[in-house]
Amino acid sequence: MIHVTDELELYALGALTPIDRARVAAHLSECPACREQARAIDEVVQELPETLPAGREAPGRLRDRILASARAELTAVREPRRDTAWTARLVRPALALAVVMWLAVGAAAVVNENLSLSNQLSVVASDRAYYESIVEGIRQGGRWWYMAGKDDWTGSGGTLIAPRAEGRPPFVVFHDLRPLPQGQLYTIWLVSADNTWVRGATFRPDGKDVQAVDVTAAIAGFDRCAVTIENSAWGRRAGPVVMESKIAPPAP
Amino acid sequence: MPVHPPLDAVRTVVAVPNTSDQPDDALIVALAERDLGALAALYDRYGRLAYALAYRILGEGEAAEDVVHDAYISAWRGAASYRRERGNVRGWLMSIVHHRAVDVLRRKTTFRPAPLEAAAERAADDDTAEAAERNVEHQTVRAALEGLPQAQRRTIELAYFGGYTHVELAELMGVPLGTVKGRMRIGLQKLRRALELQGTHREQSR
Repeated sequence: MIHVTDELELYALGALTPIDRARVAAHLSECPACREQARAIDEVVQELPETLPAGREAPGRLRDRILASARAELTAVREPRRDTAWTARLVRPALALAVVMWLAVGAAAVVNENLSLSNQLSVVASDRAYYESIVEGIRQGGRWWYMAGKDDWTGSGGTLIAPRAEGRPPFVVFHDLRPLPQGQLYTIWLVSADNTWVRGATFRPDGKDVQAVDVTAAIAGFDRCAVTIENSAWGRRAGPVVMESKIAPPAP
Repeated sequence: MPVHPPLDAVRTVVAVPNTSDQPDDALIVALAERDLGALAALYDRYGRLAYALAYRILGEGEAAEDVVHDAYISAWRGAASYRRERGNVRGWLMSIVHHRAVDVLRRKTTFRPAPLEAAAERAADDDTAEAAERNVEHQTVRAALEGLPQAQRRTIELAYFGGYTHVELAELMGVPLGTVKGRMRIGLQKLRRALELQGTHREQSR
């Protein structure tokens, strides 16, 4: 194992390129010794914002805006749905975000006056159809597992959904995916109990707040789903795990 | 179709649970349980610092506002992934703000690196904008940073607040990569010692 002690200050200060940053993060996830050193350096770096002048006030509307966004998500997940036992349980970020984005895109048609009307409508229609397809996929019901982003991917996440409908593949609805440098790919893996990693999908983030990705393998027989950053669309898993979840077996 | 409910409705919701005096860890637990009051309390506690950080990095109010908004919503969605052993809540929030702000800066600034003088000037402007009120910890950290030799201080500030990579810094400052790393390492070590020393003095004077 090659330790990264030489790069921990650069890592803590955010002075590494994204590729090096991902490499160091991957090492830290596996090395307690380097992680402990990194934590000590982080403690100092996290004090740096305290050196800023206190005179800069955040606009008063910012607090309202944050709370309104969070509340919109809550409201979206509480909306009544066509109900089955499964859809009643789908009260999570995937549906919430897709609904919010679906509504937001609709709202954009009203407020955005900078684009020409025809361009604007086609963009809106396309985005709206995209989010609507996600919402509909989720509404069909099934089982789901939320994968929270780790380390640098805190705040990102994805919900793996195994639809109940026959013939529909499992898929993951991601939110807030961080952009990746050229040449790097997000990869979804299904992992079996004997630690066999099967590639389920490889993709680039599309820049949207919500992104749905189909998984090409069935999830039966696997007990974990993970997302890594890879340099290649084929071959064995080599990159860091940025989010993962156990996959519980179906209820008896 | 409006996405957001009327702001009065939001205020009504957040006014119900009074979480303003909860410790940070309790707020994170409440956040993971989708408690809007906890989100409001976290904003009241660290929103100003978060905005100051984002503004310092981006140099522009609207972009800073977007970054702080997105960072808090990320925290709202990802509270369950917070791990106490990896740092405190303030540090966790600030690192989300920092990552997002630097990401935005690097996406915006396609012709990086910007002239060193511009970044240094921006730092100098902020230095002179002394705030009238500053708490003891604030003064402690700032004094410790100001106590560093200029080269170390400038390297740390340009990396953290300027969003420069070490390769860019080496080029801008005309020094080898090893020197950049060395300045950061020694500067942060000194900063740690200064903070520990001042923390000890504070404890003794209580």
